[in-house]
Amino acid sequence: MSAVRADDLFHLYRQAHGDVAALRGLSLEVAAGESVAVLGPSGSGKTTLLALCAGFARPSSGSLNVLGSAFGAISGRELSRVRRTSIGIVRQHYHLSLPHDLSVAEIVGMPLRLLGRSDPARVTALLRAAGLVERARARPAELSGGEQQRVAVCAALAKRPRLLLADEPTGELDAAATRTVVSLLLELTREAGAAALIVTHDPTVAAACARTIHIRDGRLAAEGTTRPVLIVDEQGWLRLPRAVREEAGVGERVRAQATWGKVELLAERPTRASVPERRLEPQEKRGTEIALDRVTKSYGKREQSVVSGVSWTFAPERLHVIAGPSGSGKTTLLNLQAALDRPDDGQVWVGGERVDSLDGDEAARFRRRVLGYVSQHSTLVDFLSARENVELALTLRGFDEIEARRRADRWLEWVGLDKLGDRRADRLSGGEQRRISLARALAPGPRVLLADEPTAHLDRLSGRMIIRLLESAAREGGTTIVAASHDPDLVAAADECLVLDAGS
Amino acid sequence: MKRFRAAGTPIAFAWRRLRTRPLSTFALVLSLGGAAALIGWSSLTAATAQEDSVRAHLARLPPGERALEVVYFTVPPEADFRAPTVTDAVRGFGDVTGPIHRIRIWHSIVPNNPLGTRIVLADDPSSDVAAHAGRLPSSCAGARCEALALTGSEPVGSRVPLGPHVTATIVGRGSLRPGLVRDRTQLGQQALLVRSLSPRLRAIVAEHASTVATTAALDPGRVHAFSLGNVRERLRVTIAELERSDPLVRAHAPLGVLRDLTHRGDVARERLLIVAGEAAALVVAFAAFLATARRRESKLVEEQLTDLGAGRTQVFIARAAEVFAPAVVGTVLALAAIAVAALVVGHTRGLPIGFVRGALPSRTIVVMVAVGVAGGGLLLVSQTARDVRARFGGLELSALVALGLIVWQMSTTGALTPDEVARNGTAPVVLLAPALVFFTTGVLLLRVVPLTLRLGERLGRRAPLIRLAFLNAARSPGHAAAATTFLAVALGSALFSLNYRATIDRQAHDQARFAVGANWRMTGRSVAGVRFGHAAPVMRLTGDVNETDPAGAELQVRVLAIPAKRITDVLGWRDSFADPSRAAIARRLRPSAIRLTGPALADDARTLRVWARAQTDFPRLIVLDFLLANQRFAQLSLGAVWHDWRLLRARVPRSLDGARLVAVQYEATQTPISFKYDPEGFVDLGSFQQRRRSGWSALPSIASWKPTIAPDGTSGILFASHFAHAPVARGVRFRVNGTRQPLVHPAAGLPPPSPGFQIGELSALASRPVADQAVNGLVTLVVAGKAVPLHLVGRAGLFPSIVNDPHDFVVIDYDTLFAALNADQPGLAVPTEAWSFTGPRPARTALDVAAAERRLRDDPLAAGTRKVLTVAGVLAAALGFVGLVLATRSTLASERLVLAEYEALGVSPRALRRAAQLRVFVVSSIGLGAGVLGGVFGVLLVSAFVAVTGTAGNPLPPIVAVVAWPAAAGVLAALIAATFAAAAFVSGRALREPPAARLRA
Repeated sequence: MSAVRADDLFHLYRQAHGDVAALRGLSLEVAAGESVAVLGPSGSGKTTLLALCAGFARPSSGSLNVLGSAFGAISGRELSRVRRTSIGIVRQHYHLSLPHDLSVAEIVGMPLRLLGRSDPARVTALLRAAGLVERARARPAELSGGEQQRVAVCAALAKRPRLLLADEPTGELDAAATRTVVSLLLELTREAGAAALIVTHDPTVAAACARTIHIRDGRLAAEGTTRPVLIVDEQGWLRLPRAVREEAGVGERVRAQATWGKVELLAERPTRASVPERRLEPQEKRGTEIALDRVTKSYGKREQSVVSGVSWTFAPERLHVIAGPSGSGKTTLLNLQAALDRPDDGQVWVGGERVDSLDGDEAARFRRRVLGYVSQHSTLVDFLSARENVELALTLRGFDEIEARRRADRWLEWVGLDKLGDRRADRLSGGEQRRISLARALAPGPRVLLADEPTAHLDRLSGRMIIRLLESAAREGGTTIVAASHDPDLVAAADECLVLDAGS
Repeated sequence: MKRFRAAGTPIAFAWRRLRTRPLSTFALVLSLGGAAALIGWSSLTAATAQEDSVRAHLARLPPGERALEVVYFTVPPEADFRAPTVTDAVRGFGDVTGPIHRIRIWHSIVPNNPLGTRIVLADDPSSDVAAHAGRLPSSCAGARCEALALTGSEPVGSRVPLGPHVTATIVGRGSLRPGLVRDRTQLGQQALLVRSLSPRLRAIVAEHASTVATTAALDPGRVHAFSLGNVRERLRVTIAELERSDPLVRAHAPLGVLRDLTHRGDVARERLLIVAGEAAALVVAFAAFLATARRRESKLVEEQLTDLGAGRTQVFIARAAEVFAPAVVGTVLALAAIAVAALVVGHTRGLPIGFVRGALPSRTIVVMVAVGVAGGGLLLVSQTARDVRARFGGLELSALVALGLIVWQMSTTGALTPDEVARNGTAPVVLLAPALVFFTTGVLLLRVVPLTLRLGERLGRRAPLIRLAFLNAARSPGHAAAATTFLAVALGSALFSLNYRATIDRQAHDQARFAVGANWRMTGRSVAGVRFGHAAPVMRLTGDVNETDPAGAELQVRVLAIPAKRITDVLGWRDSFADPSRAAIARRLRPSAIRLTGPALADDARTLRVWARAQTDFPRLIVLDFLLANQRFAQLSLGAVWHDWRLLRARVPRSLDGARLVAVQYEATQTPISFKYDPEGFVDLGSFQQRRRSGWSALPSIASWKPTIAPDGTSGILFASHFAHAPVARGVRFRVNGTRQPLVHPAAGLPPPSPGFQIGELSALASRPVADQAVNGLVTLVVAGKAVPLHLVGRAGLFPSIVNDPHDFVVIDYDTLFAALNADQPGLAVPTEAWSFTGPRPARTALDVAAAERRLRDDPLAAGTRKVLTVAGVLAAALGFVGLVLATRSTLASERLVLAEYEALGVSPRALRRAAQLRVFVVSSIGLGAGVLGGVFGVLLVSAFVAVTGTAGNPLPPIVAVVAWPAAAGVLAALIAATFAAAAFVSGRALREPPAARLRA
């Protein structure tokens, strides 16, 4: 019997501005005991698929059979029963998933107690498998990210579910923690004989699963990882991934030429993104753009040193990446360069100006004059359009309405969202929102752009697009870009890379 | 076991969360318990106030008006066999009454003379009798008895025969204590109190019937408010049983008083419950408001439990347990606290344990528990995230329906009309109105605020700071709406409570002035001693107006005769009482000068004389009527005259110094009993002369005087005359002309009599029911036995000082009515009251407007209401302030990341601070504005709520809602200042943290 069987699944979300189709005829089958990785760009419907399989929502149409129960037809009570007894759930944000008031052992034992059972031996065995026996009495806040996610995995599998649903279980973990969590997850799943449906952007995770599927625009688009096979749906539509289109320079129109066994698509008018006006005059650049001189910073009551005696220079018109594991000080260095914080010791120079001792207003003036900043959390105003969001940032920096509109249009075009300029921000995908943030940061024409985890929480395709934009801005636009990231793609694309260890 | 564990796990989870958040748990317990405690406190306040009120009210009553009295008759020769039964019945109320008094009054012991001597025996003369002169009698011995005269005119020392061989010596004069005998006519014209019955006296009285009165007055210190109903029922049952068991037994108890006291207490308790309920609802709303800030956390917990495998029921149990556990604890603590407080109050005041039950009746306990449960439910709902951009849903629909229902009910049933409410009581829908208004306001603001903020953002696009402020507010519309709603509700509640309190105070002021009508008012016997100068004489009579529909019926009315020129000075008047102004009314009531006056006797006149003769069938008695300075009358008889001229003399007593001669009567000394007799003839009088120190002087002639018209229409004729062969040459002659009312009096300016009436038309102001009986503007008033035609010059709804049957009255100028009634019959109607508007407080004052107002304000129930209102108002304002600060802090805390991003984009901290302050100010302004509107609407409701006053009586004049402008302005100013302060302080603190820390968090 299949663990999951979906046939022509549709699901609509009702929103204030209208209905959005998250799934548009998805068909899928997961065998019992099979582990399947689900990949796809943001907004493709991956999370919706998981929500339907978990019984948190009902399909709008089509059929969905989970563990032998027709989830579209059974009563809510029965659906809840299936979820409680037979489905385990692991989420991306472990720090939000675990009750902070309970100990590790209590969290892992909770699913059993909720079923009216008590099995301390089972709890101990799980913790041993996860390497957390000694931390049984610890609270989640006392654990690292990887440890917390391992607790979440143990809790999800404590009741020996027949299906495990995991949504980006390694999304917020570094590489080492990712490996540990994936290994534990798949081991315990195999032990429980459960099928697993794992949404991920991480190729490591995908490689560890038995099967990989790609979802795009609410449908199954491909299977496999290295050379994904594109799916032609029942109506004969074939969807080309954006990466493929961009690599081929294909715009809105193509001509198809078919021969036996082959269909060739020829671009009518290849497009190429153009970089807006250069801001910087060559004679303005003098050697080093940003310099850190024995910078030290500590946080917390115990004065834990995050960076200690760091000295580095960042050359102009380059893409620099500060890499390192979580807690190594990447974001701290970025914030010091942005004059968002002050070092405990050392000096920070940006554009020939010392910024480590500026007061609030001086720092704000400095940032207006010199900097652009992109954080990893999108703070776009969701009821404003993409264009309005960019314009807002420009007007706050003192640009008049007309100039702000002109710049917003130009930079939206540069990031490839000119046609979505009037769409509300909350109707854009995560990647599109990140591009808006990038446009917003670059529209004023700063000398320096600081980006904190610019590709975080994005699917790989979206992340690659961001990376290309950053490269273009640095090399063609003349902007000095410093990005803090642990994304290997971004590190690979960097002109220079500063790797931090914890505390140095 | 499995099921128990499955159900217990979420409860244990909730308990763990409560334990790890002691501060917030404590806040929940405090707020929900506090809300329940407010209800209990109002009940305790009401109970305490009612105790004081009952005690004060009973103490004000004379003992007779608060006594259980059982009266029965004994018929000779039977013994007094009813005594034990009656005494036992009365003794059964020993827990609430004072000592039992027993009086036995034998009916007249004089044969064939029912008005003869009555023997009175009291069980305890020393406490039942007050000796005004002499002493109390000692025991009777043999044929001699000592007695105290209770009625009659025998002087002390006189002897009164009581029967053969028994004589009573009067050793004193006195009276029974008030309240021992309700019907004082039982004492007859001569009542003698003896200490005991000697055998001879016993033999005498044994042959006569007697009336036995057993009384026990309710003791104000032992009658408790919480047991009033029980006492009343016991009295009612006892009275019924006594009367049914024996037809000769009559019992009486102040059941009406007790019922009224109970009703007052119930009304006051209900009103305090309403006010406290509003305050409690506000406290719960505050807790719910705080809970909205934890929606995200609540949703997170829900997701955590669901992911761990909890079912929907288990999730609900966890959420409910986390909310209802503090609610239960808070409610239990509140109950315990109030119970302890009631015990302490009871112990301090020496009240029995029943007071605690009275302070915390089952109804109050139910309400307290309901508040706790409702509070918990509201918190549960508040923690559920709701998309404020969602469409028009069930919440909005129910709010609109509720509001529509209230408006329709109030407009069609007159629930907001003070007169209507005063008649029919407060409609239940009115009691719910404030809560529903708050609910509707909240729902409305939830819709309006986000739209307003978005509109503000659009309009402020050219001003970055303003735009930023609106933008940030519009990003979390739910939060802004919640803060706005709470502020509006808090301010609205505060204004409502303050206005309610101000209205009660104003009502006490107006009520006192309306009831008294002047600064001081003397009534009763003290009026006789007033020499009207500063004080105005007033007559208050009862009359009847002939109704036209149904014909022949009579409408009883109050007749108030007050000097027209003093109407503009009367206190308690409102222009809404009548269409014409007071000045116009005064002019209309006295269109011409009317005054009964005549020649004045000199202060040193000691003798009056006049030559007189009468050519009549029988001698005529010449009687002079004088009007004294105190508007009383006195007569002076000069003697009889007949055919021969005779000089009549009379000594002028000092009491007539300055008196004015206002009538001369030619009284017949004999009147044959015959239908055919018509008195005829004439009486001649010379000029009246008074002897002063300086000698004899003549009084002005009475030739211009008018003879009265008798009821049968006959009238004498008076004219000046010359006399021949007489000791006086000139004088006046009065022709009898068949009249049986031979009296002449000054014209006094009275209008000529209307056809069919002895009196001419008098101008009057009438109430509407009286005016409706007018035909051609005329009604007939029968007052003091006379039919008086009234010409109505205006209508009025109310008139100050007329509080009994306030809607059936006529007001007439005092001089006019006084002349009209007394001209023909001197002494028919004299002033019953003296009103003082200025000057020092008279020595003997029955009614004092300041004291009356003080009494109303100090009434325990009114004081309790004011106390609860003050607390509710202050609490609402304080919660509004706290809510404002917390909302500001919470909002800015939730926007740390956004603010940090703006700073990273290059917006200066100063600009962000200003934008944050502006945002707080905008959101608060909406809330304050809505709160002011709510307060305005609340003013409409206040009249209905205060319709039965703090003293639970029907209000006169009708309640006028008062806006407590100073206090309201103060609260509003304080909240505005708090807005500024909160905005400045909180925004400063929020932005003090480095942006990097905010980004990191």
